[in-house]
Parts: sequence; structure tokens; C-alpha cells
Amino acid sequence: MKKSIKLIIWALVTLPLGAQVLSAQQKNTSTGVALVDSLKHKEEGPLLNIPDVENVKAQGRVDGSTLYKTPAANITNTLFGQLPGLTVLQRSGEPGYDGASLYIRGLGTYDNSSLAIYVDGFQTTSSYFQYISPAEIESISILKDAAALASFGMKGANGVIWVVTKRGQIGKPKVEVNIVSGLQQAMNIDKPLGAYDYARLYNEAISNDNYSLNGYQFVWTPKYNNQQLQSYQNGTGTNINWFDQVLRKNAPYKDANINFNGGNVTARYTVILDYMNQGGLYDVSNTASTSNAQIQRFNIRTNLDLNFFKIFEANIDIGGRIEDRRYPNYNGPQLWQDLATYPSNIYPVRDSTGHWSGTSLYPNNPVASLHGLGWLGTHDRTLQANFGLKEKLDFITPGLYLKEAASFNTWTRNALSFSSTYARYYEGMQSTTDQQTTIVANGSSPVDQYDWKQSTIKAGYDRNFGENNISAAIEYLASSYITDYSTNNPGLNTGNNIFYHYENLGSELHYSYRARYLLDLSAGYSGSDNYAPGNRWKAYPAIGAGWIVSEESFLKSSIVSFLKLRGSVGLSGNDQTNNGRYLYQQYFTQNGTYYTGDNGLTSNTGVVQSYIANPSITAEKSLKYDAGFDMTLFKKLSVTGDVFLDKRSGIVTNSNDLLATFGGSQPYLNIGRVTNKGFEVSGQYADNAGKLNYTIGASASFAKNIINYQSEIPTVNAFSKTTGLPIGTPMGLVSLGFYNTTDFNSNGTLKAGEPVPAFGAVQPGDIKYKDLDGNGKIDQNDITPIGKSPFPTLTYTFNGALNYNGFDVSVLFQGASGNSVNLLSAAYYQTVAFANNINVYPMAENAWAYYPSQGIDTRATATYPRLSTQANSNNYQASTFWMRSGDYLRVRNAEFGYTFSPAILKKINTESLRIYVSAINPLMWSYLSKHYHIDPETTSGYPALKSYNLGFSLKF
Amino acid sequence: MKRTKTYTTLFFAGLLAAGATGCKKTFLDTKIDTSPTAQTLNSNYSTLYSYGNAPYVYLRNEFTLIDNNLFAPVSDEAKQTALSSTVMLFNNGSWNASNNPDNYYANYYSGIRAANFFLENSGNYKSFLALNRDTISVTGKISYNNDVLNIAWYRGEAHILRAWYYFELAKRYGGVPLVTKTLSISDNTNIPKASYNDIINFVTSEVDNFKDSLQVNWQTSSFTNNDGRLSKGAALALKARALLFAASPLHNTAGDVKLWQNAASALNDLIVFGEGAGQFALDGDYRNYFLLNNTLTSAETIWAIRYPASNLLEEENYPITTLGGASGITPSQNLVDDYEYASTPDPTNPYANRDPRLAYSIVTNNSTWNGRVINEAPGGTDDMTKSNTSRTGYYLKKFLNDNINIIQGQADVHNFPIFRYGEVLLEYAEAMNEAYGPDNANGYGLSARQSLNMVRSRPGVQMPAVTVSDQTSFRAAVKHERRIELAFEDYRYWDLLRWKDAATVLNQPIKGVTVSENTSGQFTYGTTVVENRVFDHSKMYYYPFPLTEISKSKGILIQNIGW
Repeated sequence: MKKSIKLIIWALVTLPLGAQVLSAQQKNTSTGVALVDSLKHKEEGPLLNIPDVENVKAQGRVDGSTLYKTPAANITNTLFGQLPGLTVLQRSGEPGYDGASLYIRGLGTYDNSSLAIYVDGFQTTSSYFQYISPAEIESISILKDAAALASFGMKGANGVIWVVTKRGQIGKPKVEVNIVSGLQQAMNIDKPLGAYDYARLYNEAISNDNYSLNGYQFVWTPKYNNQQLQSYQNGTGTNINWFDQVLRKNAPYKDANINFNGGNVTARYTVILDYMNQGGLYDVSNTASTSNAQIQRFNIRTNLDLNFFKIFEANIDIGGRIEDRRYPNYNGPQLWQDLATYPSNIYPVRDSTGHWSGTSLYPNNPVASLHGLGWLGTHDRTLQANFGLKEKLDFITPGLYLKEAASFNTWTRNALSFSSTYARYYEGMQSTTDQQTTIVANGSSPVDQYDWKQSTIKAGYDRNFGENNISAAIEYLASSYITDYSTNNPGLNTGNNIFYHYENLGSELHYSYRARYLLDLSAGYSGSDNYAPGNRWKAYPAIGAGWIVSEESFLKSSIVSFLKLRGSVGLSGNDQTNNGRYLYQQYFTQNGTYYTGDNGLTSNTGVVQSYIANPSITAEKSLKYDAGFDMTLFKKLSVTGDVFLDKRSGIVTNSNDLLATFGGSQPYLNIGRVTNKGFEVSGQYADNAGKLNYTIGASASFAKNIINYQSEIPTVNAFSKTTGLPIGTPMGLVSLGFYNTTDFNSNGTLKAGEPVPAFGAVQPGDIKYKDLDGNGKIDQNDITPIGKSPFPTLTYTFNGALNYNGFDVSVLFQGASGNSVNLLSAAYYQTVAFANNINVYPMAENAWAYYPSQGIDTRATATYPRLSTQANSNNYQASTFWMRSGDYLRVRNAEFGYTFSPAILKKINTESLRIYVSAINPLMWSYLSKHYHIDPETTSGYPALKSYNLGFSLKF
Repeated sequence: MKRTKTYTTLFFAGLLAAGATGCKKTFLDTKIDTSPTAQTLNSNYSTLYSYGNAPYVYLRNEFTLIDNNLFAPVSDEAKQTALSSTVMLFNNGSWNASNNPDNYYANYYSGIRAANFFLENSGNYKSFLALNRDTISVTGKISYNNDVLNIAWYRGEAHILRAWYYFELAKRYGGVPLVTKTLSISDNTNIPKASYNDIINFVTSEVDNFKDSLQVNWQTSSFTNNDGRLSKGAALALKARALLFAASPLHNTAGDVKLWQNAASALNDLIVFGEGAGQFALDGDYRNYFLLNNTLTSAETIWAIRYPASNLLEEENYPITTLGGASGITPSQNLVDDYEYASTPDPTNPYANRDPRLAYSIVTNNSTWNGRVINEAPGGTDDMTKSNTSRTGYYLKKFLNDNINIIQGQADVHNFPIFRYGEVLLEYAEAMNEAYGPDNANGYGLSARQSLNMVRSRPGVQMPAVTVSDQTSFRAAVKHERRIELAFEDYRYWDLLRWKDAATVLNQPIKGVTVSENTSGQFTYGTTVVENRVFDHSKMYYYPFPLTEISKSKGILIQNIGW
């Protein structure tokens, strides 16, 4: 460490001297020595400001104004399809908790794959990022390859999202006002069958259950008689559609922001104020005792840039906000489970006496859960304040500068709740011991918080020496993070109030010759507090090179207006692991009690080592290779492509390699390995036909990974191994269809030669599995991969936009494929029928059944195993039977707008006014939604949302 | 001006250097220990007690070995009523290396590790116990001395516990890898197995070396609340049992009589000890010996394992017709048939005039249990056509407290005797018979016949003495007595294995009784076959090593023959 510092200081001091020598030699080339003034037409990159033309890194960027086109409460939901290489997976649409998961270049590790997010140069948390308003954002970039990520050291392996907020522009003060208002609806709600179908299928199920008691014959023994079935059909029986009772069709969404921007050479400012309000789909209003789901946020951002005393440049960036969330005081996921599982005929919403209905078997009446239990709210305050001061040290040597910066990022959350409970009545009588209570305020209490302080010192050098351009920078970062609430971070030893400290020395040198040969050397040297002294510091170097072929004389053509080939290789690291911290420290734990004594037992507790400590535990390492090109054809079509390979090693894994003779809990070692490879390609074509301007574009990203080593416990059969398969590959049995009546003897046993399943007794109509190892038994040793990983391998987009005479139309399609959905794990309550007193869904209508006396015979055409009212352990095993393709294609947004002509606007002193209507997620094509009404991304729980919005944008 | 520039450069460069190198050592030290570490443990002398207790935790609960119940249905003693029981894998011969219901292999080694760890970390216990405490004042000194004694005993006990775990491993797997030190992650854990004889020699040498470091008799000591820890009697009993197993036909393929003599000698040592400081004596109440705290206070117990009050055993094994019961383990007709007649048989009641231990161990038709008379005839309270009633016609009685109200959560203690005097006498009879014949005491206090008849003449049992004179017939008598006396105590299966009788006996079908009531209210009985049993003698005399171990070992650990 000390040696490298000395080297760097030596370089810093001698480089200017060397440069002066060089420049003296090149004086006759007439370019002289000139400062590279990078601030004006480039954005701040992580370390250096390099024009896009000279960039050798794999990056993607999207402007904040593009993101703003998708009115969504959570910024992660605006990122679909915008950045090639960024996979966005949404899991819920619940207001305040609808953050999508973000992955750069697929999954590279089976451990912690979360990426690092930097806002204005400092790392921040995902929760801070999610509720930044797109109005505050200038651009979001993703950094994908080693050349870009090496300088981030141990934070870079999973990719980095680099967010830059708007900065003040020199010019007269400008004000921009944007208002959008819309209605949000659930994209897809899979509703269960009504009371009539429930009852008639229940009769089938209970008759199936009595098969063995009826001497292994199918005898019709219904629970609901014809009279009851009639009453459900004609409406006199209880038939409640719980989804219709609980949910409303439309939920409101509003967002308004105002942006003040202006300044001069000395001071530039931008002030952004934003208010957003998103309501939820629950059909209950916000009163003193009840609440819909809702989030409101108030953002304020002030970014100031100051120049003074000729050499100082300062920036003050303060972004803060308040988030207020409200919910019914009943756990959201549990409410959606009740909606899915409570049958329609159990009781009316209110019983005959006007009280809320409920029984001991179904105690949580979904409507009453919203109205009768009170509500809770959380109040979040968060702030990120960055201060930077840059000194241009041109008086020492031209091009040298120094910058110091500090960042304070804090967040705190308070919760307050009002609770009450209600008595459950059934047919006029109280059915449980709950009593009606009035609403009680529980007061406000702090729930969680974090505090993050970071500071950097950076020295840089930008200089041109004739045809040689050099940009170099080295930056030292110290970061201190502390949080409450141990479940914030997964793994061992992450108790309350432990500090997370991190230091990083990132450096980059960019050299370009004749603006056509490019070289980029970067390195990160990180120290993390997770590891023992001696294993904390690791170096991550990278090298990138590029060649702007179009500048060469042999490729001067009118077709290829720009062609750059580039590649990079290097290392980066990941110090975040789901297994926990301080895995080098040996801890002890109680292993049980032994009793002694004759007249009264004495308990004697034993203490043994817990998992064995690994003194040499260190960060995960990623070796990334990338090759790519950027091309512009005909000056209208731009194409970018990248191919990458990421070899991840040293993944922290709980070892299984030691034999049982070891006798202890095995340690966590850096032994896991994953290989991830893929490509990204994107193209955009912009042209005009007269006054009609149009652009069309498409992109595709593909990433596939394989687990090379994970210390897997050896399986009985080779085909049951998960090593060698992609991360998350589902494992299960292979299904061969259904058992037929001819597979059984008259006493209910399987005929000789049929493999015997180990999961329980089977009867005709149950799923028949394949005995893969051929030992005559179907058991856990016959499991094998049954589908693809739930993580899509391919994501693709198509976009198009037209602009004519003030009218503009744009549309964005986004799709994903290459993933499988296991219906049993993704949508269990919509798949399994009746077991444990739950409801039944249309999927089960075509179940296997054979009751010739009732005219029921689906033996040849069934698509669902025989119904049962009991928990059936044979049919609901993970198997190929329940795997479905998770592919989808959506229209993510479609917008139609009109920009008033400047002539009209001048009269009212406005610079521009645009009004627009947009639709978010209006259309979708997917196998799951077509056949099962299940959304492929949010398969259960609070659904993802589509919305229809109207907005305007005013600048003056 | 130029000088200022140079100084400014150097200043900023220095700042950079300082910032980068200065805080490194302490800034990244953020660890706060919220669990005990070696450091926190080594500052408190009571840590030695915690380390010393750790090996005991791995002792198995004999009441919940298979299907949360006794091990008995593995052998021909009983059948498990539940349809989807794991013991079925043993019964129908379908158990194997990847699917072994009794796979405790790794846990035995955890126990061995805990013992090794304690022994290695308590070498300097005398000075460690003096840490941070008063050893000068009268009370302080007494307390210190007691701790010194206790830890010394704990150290001896750790040796014996380790030996016990190796014996249990060898009983099941034959030769196993022998580990006598705490392995670290850099040590080679892929150890080949030692031979069976090496393991037995290890067990006997551990006992020989450390038996005198143990408490002689907890109940007569001043530490009666430590009763349940190993004692000298338990150590001698372990050595004796190990030598007996080693001498048995399964391991003593050459029929070397010297091994039997070694076993007999060790058993004699144990009996002599029992007559002296051990104070062993047969309990006078066979039925109640196994219930409540009687096991703990009785002089027959050499070592018993204690459990807090629970009604799990009753819940598992009471008849299904008793509220809360599940029938569970039901004794077989095969076992019932082996109880001798004490006097002339009663044609109307096959259970009258039998060895009293039948009535003490097994619930038969027309007996009183759970506050009612068990009537298994069609139409009776325990009609065998009702689902989940006993398929054999019998219910378990031994170990079970009667009249426990399971629904109301009534519970009582159960304690399992691992070593008891009655079993020791039977081992002695077996070893002496094999070594010297039924009547040759070889200078020891008792002959084989005498010790066998001592067991038979227990108060409350009082079966007539065994009079057969030749070694072969006497051997059969000893085997018979073990079957009767030790029913359901997890001996039968291992006895059948070590006598190599399993190949014939464990392939016999399990039989049950059918009960019907004739017109005059009398019960008539018939026999029925309940289920067939499978035992593959080409491999099942030893457990297979777990398949994951064999796979990881890649040839060093060799699987047992036939698996």
C-alpha cells in the first residue's frame, strides 16, 4: 500500500515535468500546449471526463427526460428497456413497495448480486435511489465492463448505476413546470371461480378423496346437493367475489414538479421541487380509522455550482425528500393471500345482524381487514448533501487539478399506527373470541435509520500534447455507514449499529493518440472491513483499448461515418455477501442441554464452536472480458454491440467439502465460481422525410450464466446436480401425465412394474412421475432440472417515435424471454385447489375426473390432476407439470403529445408548452396471462399497474 | 511565487499521502462481537463446564430414534402402525446408503469432536479454574476444590463418552475412521476407516486408562445433582459390552474363545464393582422400574438418560381409541409367543399363567389399560377393524405411564436406562457360557447359570430356574432370556445382528392375533400374518456409510460390502 502511494506521488510530480519536456519537443506542431476543457461538453464520468467519442468502456446512458415519459412512482419502473444490459424485474405494484430489482448483465454470482448505485459521485442505497424524481435527473448511466468498473474496486463486480442530477446552466433564469395526472389500474388480476363452480368442483374433489374408502372405486359422494348448487347459480346463495369487494378499479396518480435553472459564469443553480401522490387499489378511503394504500413524496433538490478566485470551483448538491406511506393495518401479502384463498360461499361480507362476518376457519374477512383493523403509516425523511471543492492548479502545471468532496446521506423512518379489532359473526352468533374495539392510536415510534458519510480527495491531470491527449485521475474514498435494525442486511454478525467502513483508491489513465488510438488503464485498490487485517486490501486493475477505425484513411467512406472498435479486460471485486460479515472470527454457540439429577432435573448446557472461522476470507473476484463496437452508418443509423465474459471466483460459499469426521459446522470459504457470458446490441435510426422526423430503434441483451463450483453436497445421481446449470434452475421430477385406472390393481395398489412413488398413496388421476434412475421408486433421487431459471436470459426492446409539426408519437415495446415460471412457487394459491380449505381457480376446471354416473369423464383431455380436498403430497411436488414459460412482450409506454408552436407561445411569454397523453403498460402478450390470467412478472400479490395519464410541460 | 507553487504542490501531495495511509489501521476495524468468542469464553472459568457438557448433548434420545418412537419395530419385536413410517424402509428392505432412517453418522462425529475439543482445551484446568475468583477464603476454597474435582471428572467422562460414540458407530458400521483430536479445516478429514478391532481396542483402552478418573457412585457422593453423568460403573459396563460384541459371531468369525474370556473377565470386574462401591442390585418391581423417577433412584440402574416431563411416548403409543393416542408401536405375536408359561396354560386365556413380564411389558386383549378393559373383538372398544388400531392385537406397555390424559396435556418424566444390572447379568451369563460353559465360574463369584437365574428370580417375576446342562441349549436359554427381559430396550436388533441370527429371524413374517368373542362372551384367538419382513444377509449386517460420504471421499472410505 505505502509503496503504491509513493509511486503515484512520484508520477504526479514527475509527469508534469515530463510533459513539459514533450511539449518542448513538439512545439513545431503548432498545436502547443492547451488545456483540455472538458467541463463544457461532457458530463462527469466517475473519474475522468472523456468525450463519448473517445470512450473505450461499455456503458449505456439514458436521459432523465426520457425517463420522465413513464409516469411511475418508483424510478426503477421507468427503466424498463431503456438501458441495454440492465434487466429490470418487477415483483409488486404496491404503492411504496413497488421497487423493481435491477441487474446489470444478468446474474454473475449466486451470492449477493446487488449492484452499486452512485448519485452525483457518491454511493447511495437503493431505497434512496428509488424515490428520486426523474425530474431531478440529468442522466442515468450503467457501467458494465472492467474498464469502467475496476476503479470502483470491491463495489464494481455487479455493475454500477451512475446517476447525475441536473446542473445549473449559464443563461437567463428558466422555469419548467411539469404536471401529470393519471389513473392506474391493475394489469392483471387472476380471480378464482365463483360459488357455483367451487361447489361443483368440490363435490368432485371429495368424491375423489373417498376413492380408497369406497373400495377403490369412483363413487359420487358430493358435499353440496343440487339444491345448493341451484342457489349459487340463481343468486340466492352466498356468492361473494372478494376481489370485487375489496378492490377499486382505478387508483389516482399525480406528479407535479417545478424546476428553476439559471446562472452565470460565477454561479449556476438549479432548484427542483416535486410532489407525487400515488393511491392504491383498495376500496377504502383515507379517514381517521381507515386507509387506502398510498404514498406521497415531497422532493427538493438544490444544485449549486460556484466559480471563484479563478481557480476554485465548488458544488453544493442537496437533495432531500419526505415520503409518507399509509396502509391498512393488515399485512399486505397476507391480504392478497386471503383474497386468493377465501372461497366465495363462506359467508356474506356482513351477516344478518350487520356485523362483520368471520369464522374460526376463515377469521379474516378481507373487507373487514381493510375497514375494521385500523391503519398504519410510515414517515421517511432522507437527505443526500454533497459538497465539492475543486482547485485548478494550472499555475503549478497546466492541467493539474485537485478536488475534495464530502457527502452526508441520512435516512430515518418513523411509524405510527392506529389499531382496532372487530368481532366476527356468523349467522347471527359470534364465532370467535375477538371483540369489537374502537380505534386506538399507538403513537409514533422510530423504526429504522441509516447514516452514511463519505469523503473523497482526487487529483487529476488533463493535458494535450499535440496529438497526445492524457487524462488521469486518482481518487481516495473513505466511507462510513451505520444502520439500525439487524434485518437490513442478510447474513451472520450483522447486529444493530455496526459500522460498515470502506476505503478505496481508484485511479484511471486515459491516453489517446491522434484522436484515433485509445488506451485506458484503470485500477481500484479497496479495503473492506469485512475481512481480517491482512486480507482487507485487494487491487483490481484493468486495461481497455480502442481504435476509431473511421478516422483511418482506408476507411473514409460515406457509409460508415463512425466506427470504433474497443475491448477491455480487468478485475473488479464484490465485498457484499449474503452469508454475513466477519467470517474470520471464531464464535461459539450453545449446542443443547443434558439433564442430570434425581429429584428435580438440572439442565447442563453445552457450548461448541459454531461454523469454523476462515481467517483468509476475502472479497469475491470478477474477471471481465469485453469486446465491442460503436458504429454510425449514413450518419443516421447508430449501432452499438458488446460481447462479454465474466468469470466470477472466490464466491463466499458454505463449504460442503469436508467429510463427517470433521464433526463441526463447515466454514465459509471463497470457493464458488460462476461464468456469465452474453452480448448486447442496440441500434437507433433517426431520419426525416420532409417535416416528418422519425426514429426507430431496437436493442437486445442476452446473458447466460453457469455455476462452475458451489461445493454442492454430492447427489445420488449425476442428473440431480445443480452445478453446471444456470443459477436458479428449478429442480424437480419429470411428469409423464396422469395415472389411469388401468395402472392399478383392484385393491388399489399399483400394478407390478409400475414404479412406486415415495410421496404417498396414489390413485387414478394423480400425476405420474418418471423413475429416472430406474430403481422402481420415485423419490427425491429422481429430481433433475425441470425448466429454465426464473431469471430471463434475453431482454429486448423496440422503440419508435414520430414527430410532425408539433405532434409527436412514441412507443416502447419491451419483452423478456428465457425464463420459466413454476406455478407452485410463483402462484401457489392460484394453482393448488381446495387443499387446506382454500379456493379453486379456473386452471382446475379441466381436472382429471371419472364419474360416468354424473356424465363426467375427462380422462383423455385433463390438464390438471384429480381434485382433492386434502393436502396431496404427490401432485404438488415441483415437476415439469407445473413449469410454464415466463416469456412476455409488453407495450411499456405509448405517448402522444403536441408541442405548441413558438409563435403562439411568445404571446404568453412561454418558451415551450407541450401537452400529452400516455399509456403505461397498456398491452401485454404472454403465455401465462393468456392461459391463466397470471402476470408473468408479478405472479401473485399486489399486481403490477398500468396507467393512463394526461400531462403537460411548460417552460418559460 | 514559484516557491509558493512548489510548496503548495508538496502540501497537497502530502495531504494525499496522509489521507491515504494514515487512518488505515484503525478505520477498518469495525467488528463488535455479539456472540461469545474464544476470548470472552477464556475469561470465565465456567466455560470449562460448558465445554464439558457439550459432548453429552449428542447422546441419542432412545425414545425418539425412529418415527419419533422406540427402535423396536426395526426388529421382530413390534410393528409400527402408521402407514407412512420411515421404519418401513427397514422392514421391507428398501433402505440404502442414500436413504437410511437411522443416519446419525455425522452427529456421532460431532459428539466426538466436542469431546476432543474439551480435552484439548481443559489441560490446564486447575489454573484456569482459579482465574478471577476467590480461592483463599473458606467458602471460596471449597467452591474451587469442588470445581477442580468436577472438571477432573468431566475430563474422564469425555474420554468415556468419546469411547461410547465410537462403540455406537462400530455397532452399526463396523470399522469407522478413528479421530482422536479436534480437526481443523486444514487437516485431512478424508480418513480411511480403522478396523473393527481397532475401534474396540480403543474403547477398552480408554476405559482402562480413565475409569479411575470418574466418579464412583453419584448417588452416594456429595454431588447427587450430577447423577446422569458417566460413572466408573458406566465405564466398566461400556468396556464389557464392547468386548461382548467383539466376541460375538458377527465380528469373531474365527470363533476365538479367548475373546469370550476377555468379555467374561470385564463383566466380572463390573459385577465385583457392583457388589462393592457400585451397589448394584436388581430392582424388585419390573413394571414400575421403567416409569417415572424409579429408573433414576433404583439400584439396578448403572447409567440412565433423563428427559423432562413429556407425554410424547404415550401420545405415540396409546391405542388410537384412547383420546390422543396413535397406536404407534404394537408388539408382535412373535414376541408374545416367546414368553414362557409359568404354570399350566389356560385354554380360555392364552395370556394367563405366563411369565409376568408379558403383562408388565405388553397390553393384551382383555387386560385393563387407560382406564378400561381392552376389548378387541368385533364390536368392542378396540375393535381391530377400526382404522389405525393395532394390527398385531397388542399395544406397548413398557415405559408408558398409564392413565395419562393427553388431551389435557398431562405429562410425566421418562428416563431410559442405557446400562442396567439385569442386562449386565445376562451379558455375564452369555460370556461365561461361551468361555467356560454353563456351570464353570472360573474362580469368579458367579457362574453363567447363577447369573441367569438371578435375573429370572427377580421379585415379581420369579420364573423357574434354567436347568439345561449343555452349552448349546444354555446359549439358547440366554438368548431367550435377553429377548424377554430386554424387550423394547433397543437390544433385540443388535443381538440378532451380532449372533448372526438375523438372516433367519428377521425374514420371518410378523404375526398378530385375531380376537373374536363367542356367544358366551368368551374370547377366542387366532393367528394372522401381519406383514412380511425382508433382511438381506449379504449386506444388512452393517449399515452403509452415507452416500454423500462415499462420494466426497473418492475411494478412501470404502463402503461396506454389498451396498
